[in-house]
Amino acid sequence: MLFPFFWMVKTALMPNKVTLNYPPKLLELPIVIDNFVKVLRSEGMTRSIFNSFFIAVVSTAGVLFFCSIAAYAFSKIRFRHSGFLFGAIFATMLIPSQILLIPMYVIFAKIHWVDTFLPLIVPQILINGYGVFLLRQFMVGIPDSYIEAAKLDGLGHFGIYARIMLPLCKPPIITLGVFTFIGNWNNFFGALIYLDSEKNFTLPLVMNVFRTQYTVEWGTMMAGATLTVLPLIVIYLFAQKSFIEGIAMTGVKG
Amino acid sequence: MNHKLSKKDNFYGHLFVAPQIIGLVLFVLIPLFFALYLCFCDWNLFGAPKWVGFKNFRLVFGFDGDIFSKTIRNTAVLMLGIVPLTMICSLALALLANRKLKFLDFYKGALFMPMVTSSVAIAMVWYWLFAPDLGLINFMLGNLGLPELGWLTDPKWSKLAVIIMTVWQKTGYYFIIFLAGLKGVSRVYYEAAELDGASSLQRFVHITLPQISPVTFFVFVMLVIDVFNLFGEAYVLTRGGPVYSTYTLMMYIYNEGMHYFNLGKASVASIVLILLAGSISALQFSLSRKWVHYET
Amino acid sequence: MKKTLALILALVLALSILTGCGQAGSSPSTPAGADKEDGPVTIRIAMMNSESEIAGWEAMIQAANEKLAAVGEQITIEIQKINASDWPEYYQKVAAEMAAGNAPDLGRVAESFMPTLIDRGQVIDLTEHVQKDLDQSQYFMKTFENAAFVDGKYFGLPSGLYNYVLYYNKDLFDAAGVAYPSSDWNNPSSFEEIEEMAAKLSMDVEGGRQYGFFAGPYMAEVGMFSKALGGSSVFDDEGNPIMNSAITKQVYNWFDRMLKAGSMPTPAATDIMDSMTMFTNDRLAMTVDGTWFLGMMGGLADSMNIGIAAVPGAKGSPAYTSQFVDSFVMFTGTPHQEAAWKALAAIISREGFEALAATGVGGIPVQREVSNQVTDNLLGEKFSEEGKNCAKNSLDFTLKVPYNAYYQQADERVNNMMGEWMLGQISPDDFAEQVQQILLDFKAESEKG
Repeated sequence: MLFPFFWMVKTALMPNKVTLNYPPKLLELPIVIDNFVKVLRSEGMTRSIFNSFFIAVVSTAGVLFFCSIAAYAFSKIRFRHSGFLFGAIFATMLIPSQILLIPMYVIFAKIHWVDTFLPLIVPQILINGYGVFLLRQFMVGIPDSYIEAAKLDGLGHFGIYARIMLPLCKPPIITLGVFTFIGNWNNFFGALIYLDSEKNFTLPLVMNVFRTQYTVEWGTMMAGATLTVLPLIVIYLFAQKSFIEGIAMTGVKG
Repeated sequence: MNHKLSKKDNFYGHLFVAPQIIGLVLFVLIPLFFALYLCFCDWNLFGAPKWVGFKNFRLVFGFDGDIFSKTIRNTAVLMLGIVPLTMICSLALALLANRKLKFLDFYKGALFMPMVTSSVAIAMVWYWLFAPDLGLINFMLGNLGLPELGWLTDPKWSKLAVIIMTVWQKTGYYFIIFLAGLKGVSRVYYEAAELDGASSLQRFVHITLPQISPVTFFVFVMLVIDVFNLFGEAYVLTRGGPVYSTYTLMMYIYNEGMHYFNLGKASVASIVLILLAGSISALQFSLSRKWVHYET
Repeated sequence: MKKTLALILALVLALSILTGCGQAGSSPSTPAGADKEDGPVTIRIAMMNSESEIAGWEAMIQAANEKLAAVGEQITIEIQKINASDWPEYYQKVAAEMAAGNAPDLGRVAESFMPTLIDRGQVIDLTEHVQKDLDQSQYFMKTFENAAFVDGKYFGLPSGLYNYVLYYNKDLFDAAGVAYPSSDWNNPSSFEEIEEMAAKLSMDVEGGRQYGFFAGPYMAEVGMFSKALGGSSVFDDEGNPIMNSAITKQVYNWFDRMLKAGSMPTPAATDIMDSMTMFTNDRLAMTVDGTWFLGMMGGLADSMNIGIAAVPGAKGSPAYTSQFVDSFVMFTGTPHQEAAWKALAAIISREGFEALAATGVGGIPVQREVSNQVTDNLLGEKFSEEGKNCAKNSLDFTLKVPYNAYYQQADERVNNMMGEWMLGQISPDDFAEQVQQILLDFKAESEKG
């Protein structure tokens, strides 16, 4: 499990020339940090970290809110056509994104969203079959008795959602949050297509300049990849703590 | 249970899902209609698409017929390998992790790593593991007195290589989901079962499995979709070869759509994918009533 | 009720977008005359942004801007940096922009994409400009006749040229007591000689095998070797595929013998460690590879003893080397055709190429005055004169890769099918027949239109 990660870090700590040696050794001395220095000094680095962070945070917040509220409706509210609507939202996952790309670009160009962060944020918030399905599957597991009790206490649907469902579904919500954050943080292709000006470039875009047509600077590339991963590890550690809190919360349940 | 729809429920239900419906129309249905229209067109990207009737269908099912049917067979074989193996591995690991183990955090962290490791690094490492002469896997097979295999060169074994790598990659991901599911099972049930003197196997079968069945269902359905979407690292590893033995439907769509810009052909192939994936999902949903335990 | 409403709404919107696409497209064809606006014009050129190359292109564009300013043109060229790592990604971005009606004015694309771009009318025919406004004596005009040159029309201007040479490791030759391969393009080492050398240079060494020779057994290579043997490259003069001809089969059999003898690594083995990595690690004595590695060879001259020779050929007749030419193009839809041409001419001027050459990026310039100097710079002082001259001379022996509307797709299919031959399940002759059949199928399909 850890070996590719180890290989990535190891390569990042090797001079570019040595990375081509074969067969690869487990440890290559001397260790150098030139690659990291080179990456950190590359143009527009700080700006791109900020952009990526902004996009990932806003997207994650939006996805969590809109998915969880829709999942609540699909799992615990009886309303007309709910089965059909859920099916339609689910079915969006079956459509290969490749064939939607060009028409989407045309739409975003028409409403002047190209070269803004909006095409990278809004679509996944407003239509997210994965998130809705994931959270619905967890919410259906929560006994209806909780909701009936809350209704008797005078809570409306929004109140039940906010005060009962969200706290009870903390583990899956955090899971979805972590996945969404990772996906957005690493989103290279969307950024490539929709962002034009350098001031808007995101981290994966800036990192990508170390890959070229004919040669790859493995060391530099892996240094970039390692630096990109670091924030994700921090977020994971933070989320892992919340998994444990999750146990305590659900313990109340029985 | 009141079976009449309450007006208030109906209103809030629609209100809560409304954003998703708006997104569905704007960001999926409209582009999808355009893509469907392109099935019958040649489009040079500027100017209006040129109507060509069923030409793209003929190209996909006729001209590319051999390769296209191969992609469907390959996708099916990969699915039969990847889906059950990943489910078993990720559930087993999640059950282990749900106990109090030494180094549990380290172990959870390790499972998380494939998700954030650069996909190039992942593909490179697997390349080396599967390499014919110097690869670690063949080295171990040799030590066990077994014949070395052409993991990436022989069409007989290349699918297995892709299955192994994909299971490895997906396991960490679904492990986390299963773990979140296990966290949701109330202790009370177990305590009650323990008083009844149930064995740990009985507890697993009668409590854990039914309680997490909605989550298991999610993993099952998503894995099927994942295999349909199989691309990325698998493509880097084999490029769909050798002799198209690991070429999947999605790789075909990707190549036609993003590499050769035959958007019409890509759309036709996408319809096949949507129909196949859709009918499998529909089957899964309809069978789910038999085994998925929904709390009421 | 709601579903039907939503469906109708979606249909209406979809249709309006469809017609929108049409409009976006129809506008570019109209303003041929609306071109002569006054005032400053900004020309956007889409460039792949890679850390090792971008400085070169920036220098070239800056030189072009200075040149334009010096003659009083109110034209500014601006680079649109596309942080793609390969050409398909780059083309993906440009294609999306094209579909939305805001394609860049100019761009730089790989030769393999040219047939598609031309076929779909996505690039503008520059023939009139090339004939009227370009001083052709300044350029290697032969290099203009690449995939961007169709039916006597120029759809792109070369930004630089790459071709194959034979790199060899002198130390491995000395250790095995084998004479170096010929660096004379008019009298190259023959296929038999190379095969013999390769056998002598191949042996099991600590931790693996040392191979004598590598060249990709792909269509471009098989084509150029067939040409050297008196055949022609992939197609005959009428454009009919000839991959099952006796000469082509001879080339495939030559590859097959070396593969079976263990003097050449299989393409699968080079997937795991690419041939250049083998070469730089003393695991491969000779490799046919591109001049895009000249700079790297210059850098390695300190630690390795590298020679450059002509690629294998027939005894006493010239060798041929496939050329790869990236082109500057003008995208259909630019509202500033005249200004874009002026910008393009400034970019490929001597000043432009000199600025580019100073950075050692972008291949060998097609501008005569700068070309040799670039090769010298790339290989550096330590490299032997013989090697440098061999690299320079190779430019007179280049051969166009016969790209056409289906070449790339057929090539990829051929490569994917190669597995059976590599496993020894089918003979090289049978494989040649398979390749021929693939090409014939594609040709027949493309003629149906």
